[in-house]
Amino acid sequence: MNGIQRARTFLLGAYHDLPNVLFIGSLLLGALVGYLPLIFVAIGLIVNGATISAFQGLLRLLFPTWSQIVVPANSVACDIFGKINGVLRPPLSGELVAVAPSHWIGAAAFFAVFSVYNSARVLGRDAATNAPADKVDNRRAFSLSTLVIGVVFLLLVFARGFTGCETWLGASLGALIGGGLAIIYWGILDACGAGTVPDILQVVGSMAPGGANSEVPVVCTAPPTT
Amino acid sequence: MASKIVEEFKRVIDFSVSGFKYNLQVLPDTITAASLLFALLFQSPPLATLGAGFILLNFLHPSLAEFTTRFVSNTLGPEVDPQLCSGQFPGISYDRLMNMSSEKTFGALNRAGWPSFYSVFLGYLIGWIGPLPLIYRKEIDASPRRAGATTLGLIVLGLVVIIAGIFRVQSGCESVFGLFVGMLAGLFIGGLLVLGVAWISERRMTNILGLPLIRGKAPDGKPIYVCERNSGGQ
Repeated sequence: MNGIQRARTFLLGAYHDLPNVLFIGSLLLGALVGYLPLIFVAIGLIVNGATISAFQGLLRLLFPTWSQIVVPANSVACDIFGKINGVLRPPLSGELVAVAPSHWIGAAAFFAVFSVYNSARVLGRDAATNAPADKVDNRRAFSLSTLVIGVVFLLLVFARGFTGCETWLGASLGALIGGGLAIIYWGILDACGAGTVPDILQVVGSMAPGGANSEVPVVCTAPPTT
Repeated sequence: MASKIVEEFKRVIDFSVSGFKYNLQVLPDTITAASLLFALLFQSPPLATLGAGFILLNFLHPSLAEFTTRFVSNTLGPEVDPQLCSGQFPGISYDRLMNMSSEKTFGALNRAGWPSFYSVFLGYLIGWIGPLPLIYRKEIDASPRRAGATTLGLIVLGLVVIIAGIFRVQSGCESVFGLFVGMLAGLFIGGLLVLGVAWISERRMTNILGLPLIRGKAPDGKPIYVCERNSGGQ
């Protein structure tokens, strides 16, 4: 297989597996390098998945035959794990599976909204008194660029709708639950960590002490608690 | 009611087990995709360097496999299921499978790869992350809290590599010898690359641990850190 075919398979595979990539990537990379906010994001994705499963069960109970909620399990193309030989049993003929709210959209929206919201909060953070203007601009430019990339990523997430793997209701509910939970979860982490825990961009955590002046070189020394 | 709860519980367990196996199966592609995606989303040069290293490994591995094939002939490559053992995402396109299912010639073994990409990837991961505590020893020594996180990271790395290695051997994708040779090759490539990049970039591009870099020590013995370009952003 040449490089282009390999790249194509990789990109399509990564998109198809996105929730899995986000979860395993956050968990493993976070644990391997001691990147605590990423581990918290992975925990958030578990909570998000459990919430979506609960909603799926509830909606299936209320609307057992509505085609926006349940669809026949006639294809494994939309199932992340279904492609693995011998790992999962093939779906039975006529078996229905719940697709609303969507796990895929929910997980991807959770991650994207968490990232965008974090960028927006860092962007909107007040500057310290006497802070050098160029450094404030640097921080804001960095936050703005991550915010824009996050929004583009969010739009790409919604392109999943063109794959035929989502219903309108499933995608909308998934995005609402995932996005809503991300903001609530960010708020909870922020309340526990005073702005440093959910800062996945590590902007706030690496700020120099307040009052730094461009005339005076900034010397950061280890805090007494570390 | 109770039987339904038990049934649901069994389904969750089955799902978790199959998910765990699946993730072991596609670990190289998952980690590569995650590091590239996070590098883009968080604008992180060290993560981008890590991801670029994984891509480089994708290009280096065929050459390595060709080199070893010239010496070991096609007797050491076990018959493996390419979808199960490639370490790549299950193909949306199955051209990879078609490429591999042709008659087993010298070139076919080369494409299947010996040592496998998976084993080289595991070695590469150790080779890249393993030396980081040595490269950033000063910074880690100055912060016991980060030292704990780094030690934990190394333990997690060890566990991941051991579990993935056992899974590969047990699922028939790898011989113990092949795994060892692949990991050794990956270790060499990863170690060489991380040390080289750290040296060229004055340790900035490999700072995946996000440690504030120490420039020297103040007269009272406290470390003086290098403030990053955007870190002083008030």
